[in-house]
Amino acid sequence: MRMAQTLGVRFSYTEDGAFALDGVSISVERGEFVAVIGRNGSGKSTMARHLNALLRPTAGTVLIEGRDTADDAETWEIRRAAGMVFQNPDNQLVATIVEDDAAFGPENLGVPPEEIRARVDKALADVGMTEHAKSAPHRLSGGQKQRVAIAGVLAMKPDCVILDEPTAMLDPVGREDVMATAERLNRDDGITIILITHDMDEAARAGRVIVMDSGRVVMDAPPREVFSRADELARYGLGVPQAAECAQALRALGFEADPGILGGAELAEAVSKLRGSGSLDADRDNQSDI
Amino acid sequence: MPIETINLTYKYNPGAAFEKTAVRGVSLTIPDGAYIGLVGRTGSGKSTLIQHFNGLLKPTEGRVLLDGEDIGSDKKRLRDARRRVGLVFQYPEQQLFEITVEKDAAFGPSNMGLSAEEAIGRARESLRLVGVPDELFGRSPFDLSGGQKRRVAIAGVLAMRPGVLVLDEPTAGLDPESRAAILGNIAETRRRLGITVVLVSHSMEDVAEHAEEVIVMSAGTVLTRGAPADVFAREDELRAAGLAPPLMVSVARELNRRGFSIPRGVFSPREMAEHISKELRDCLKT
Amino acid sequence: MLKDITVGQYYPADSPMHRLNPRVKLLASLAFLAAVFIISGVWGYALAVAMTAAVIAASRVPVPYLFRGLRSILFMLLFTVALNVFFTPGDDVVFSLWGLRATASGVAVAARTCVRLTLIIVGSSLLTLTTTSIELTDAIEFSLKPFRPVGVPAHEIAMMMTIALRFIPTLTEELDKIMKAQAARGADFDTGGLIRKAKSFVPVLVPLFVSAFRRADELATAMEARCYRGGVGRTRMRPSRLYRRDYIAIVLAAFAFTAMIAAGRIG
Repeated sequence: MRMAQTLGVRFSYTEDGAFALDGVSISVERGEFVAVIGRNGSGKSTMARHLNALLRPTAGTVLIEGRDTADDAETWEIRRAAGMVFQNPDNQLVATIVEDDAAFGPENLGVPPEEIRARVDKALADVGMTEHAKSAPHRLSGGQKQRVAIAGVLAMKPDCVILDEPTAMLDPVGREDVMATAERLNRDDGITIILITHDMDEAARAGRVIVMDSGRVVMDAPPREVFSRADELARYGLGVPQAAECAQALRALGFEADPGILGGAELAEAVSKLRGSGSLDADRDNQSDI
Repeated sequence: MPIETINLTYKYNPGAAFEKTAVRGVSLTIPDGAYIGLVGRTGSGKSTLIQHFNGLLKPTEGRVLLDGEDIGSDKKRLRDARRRVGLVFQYPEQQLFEITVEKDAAFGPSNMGLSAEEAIGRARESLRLVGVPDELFGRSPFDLSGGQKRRVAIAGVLAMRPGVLVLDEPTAGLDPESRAAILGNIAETRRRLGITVVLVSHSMEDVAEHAEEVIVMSAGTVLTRGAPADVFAREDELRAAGLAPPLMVSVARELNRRGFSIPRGVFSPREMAEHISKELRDCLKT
Repeated sequence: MLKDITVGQYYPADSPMHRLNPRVKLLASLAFLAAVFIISGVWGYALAVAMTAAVIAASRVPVPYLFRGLRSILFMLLFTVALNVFFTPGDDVVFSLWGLRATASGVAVAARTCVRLTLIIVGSSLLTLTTTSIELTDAIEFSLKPFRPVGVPAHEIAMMMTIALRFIPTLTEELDKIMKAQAARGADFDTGGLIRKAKSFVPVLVPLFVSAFRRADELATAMEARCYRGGVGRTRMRPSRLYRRDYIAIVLAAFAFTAMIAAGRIG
C-alpha cells in the first residue's frame, strides 16, 4: 500500500479565494525520501499540511496508507502514521524538559506509561539527544531543538515523517544535523521522509524531487533530472546546486558535461575525465595546491 | 566613517555563575566604504560584536571608536552612533509595529527629531531604494509577504541615513529568489549612497559573491581577515572554525590536485566553467 | 530583570524533593501558604523559617540561585515595609522621618509582612524549582478535578500553565531583542515623563504581541499534529504513584504545620 497519495487535490483558504492547491496528484511509496521545492506561496506547505490531516481538501482526496483524511474517525491514526516537524523549532516544543516533550505525542495517543518511557528513550537515542534528555528546550541550539521535535514524532512510531522547512532557521551546522538525522531514519529504519525545503543542495540529497508552482506540481523526477533543467527551474524562482550550475555552464560552452551533476567531488571527477588522461603537461601537475 | 574597536571584550552576566565571554580582546577596523563579510559559526561572537558598533552593548573592557571618537564617552555620542551605524537584526520584520509601511519606516527618522513630513519623505526614499513598490506604502506591514516585510524593516534602518549599514543574516529563512533580490538591493544601495556595509552571514557563497573583505570569527576572537580569495583558500583554518568554504573553492582544490591551475578567488559556478573551458581548450591545442 | 524571576524555572537535580510526588508537593505548598497566613508569634515564624530551610536543604537547589528570585520583588518588599512602618497608627513612635512617624507596632507589622512575603515566595519557588512543569500540570489537574462537575476545565487550565511556563524564557529573549532593534532605530526607553515612557513601549509591545499570537497559532497546530485532543484518553509517561517517601512527607508536613500553628498560639 502507498504511504501517501493525493488525487486531484484542490484547496482554498477562503470561500471564494484563489486555490492554494490547484489539482495536486502525487504519490509517495513506503521508504522513499522525497523533497518538495517551490518558491514562497507555491503551495508546498499547504500540501504538507494535507498529508497530516491538518488541512482537508476542498476537492479531491488525500490518502495516507489508504486512509482518507476527510474521514474524522481516521484523523488520529493518520497523524500518528505521518508525523510532522515544523519550521520554527521554538514553536513546536510543548514541555519544559526535552524528554517530557518527546513523551507528549504518545501520551496523547494513550500509550501505557512503561511503553512511553521505552519509546522516548529510543527516540532520543535515534536523534542523538539522549544526553540532553533532562535539559530545558530553550537552552538548546536550533539544530538540537529540531532533533527533539523529530524525536517527539518518532515516539509516535510513525511510518512517515513530513518535515516542513525544518532547516530554514538553522545555521549550517544545525542544518547538517537535521539532514543527517532524516537520512539515517530513512536508511536505517525505512521511515518515509517528505522534506519541504528552500535549499537546493538539501533537495539534491533526496531520492526524488517534486517541484511546485502556483499550487500545481510542475516537475516530479529524481534530483539529477530536475536539476539538469536549470532554465525551467528559474521560471519557478528556483536555482540549482552550484555544481549543476557549473556543469550546465560547461555544456553551454560546448563540453560534454552531465547536466545532472549535483556535488563538488562529482564535478571535479567529470571535468578531469573531460580532459582525458595525461593530456596536461607534467610541470602543470606540480602546481598542485592553490 | 571608520569604526574601530580597541581590545574589546564583552562578558554576559559578568561575575555570575552563568558568566560567558562572548568577545575577547578584539581590535579591528572597519574602513570607510568597505563591504565586509563577517562570518563565524553560531556562538562565535559575531552578533555580540556588531551590537557594539552602534553602542547597544557597552564593552566590558576596551573601547569602540566611531570616526576616532569613543562612542561611550557621553550620551550624545551614543545617540549619534545609533543613527550613524544602522543595525539590522536577524528577522528584522519582527520589529514592525506601525499601521502603515511608510509610518513604520519613518520611526527612525522621527526619533531623530525630524518633522513628520521630513520623516515620511526619508521613509519613502529608503523604501524605494530597497525596492518596495509605492503602492504598498499605505498598506499594513503585517499584510506583506516575508520578503517584502524584510525590505520594509531594512528601509526603516536606512531611513536614518546611516554611514554604516550592519546586517545580521538579512536573508535567513527566505526563498532563493528573495535572497538574491535582497542581497542585490543591498549592493545597489551601497553603490548609490556610498555607505559601508557589514554583512553577517552563514552563507560563504553570499559573502564570496558580495564582500570585498572577509572577517572570520571563532570563539570570540578574530581568526583571520583578508580578501575573500585569500581567506577562503585557507580551507583547513576555516573548517577548524566550523565553517565550510564556498563549494567552488573545494572544486578548484580538487581540480588543481589533478593538474589544473584554477586561480584563487573563483567563487561563482559560471566563472569556474569559464576557467575550466579555457584550460581544457589550451590542453587540447597542445 | 525578567530573567531573574526564579519562580517557574525548574532547577534540574536529583534530590528527595525532586523525587516527591508532585501532587503531594502541590498540596503541601498550598497548606504551607495557608499556614503562613494563620501563624502568629515569634515561635510560629521561627518554625516556619526552620521548616523552609530544611526543605531548601532537601531540594539541593543552591541558595544564591533560589534567592535571585527574590531580587526582582525586592522593590515590592521594601515598599510594603515602608508602608507598614510609617502608616500603622499608634502612639509608640520610634523615630520620624520627613514628618512621617514610625511606630513600634508599625515596625512589628512590617517585619511580619516581610517574613510572610519572603516565605510565600520562597515556598512557591521551591515547588516550581523541584517540579517539572508537566508534573505540575498533572498535580494541578488532580487538585482541580473535584471542581470539574461545577465547570472548572481542570485539564485545560493545567495545559495553559505548562505552555506559559515553557514560553517565558522564549518571550523574555524576544522582548530583549525587540527592545534592542527599536533602540537601534533611535527609540528611547529611559527619558521623559511617565506618559512618554509608556508611549515609548508601543513599538515594543505591538511586535511582542504579534509574535506571541503567531507562536500560539503555530504551537496549536504543532500540538494538533501530535494528536493532542484535550485530556480525554491521555496517559502519562510518569504516572502519579504514591511511594513510601510520599506518605512520610505527608506525615512530616502535617506534623510541621500543626506545630507551626500551635507554636503561634502558645508564643
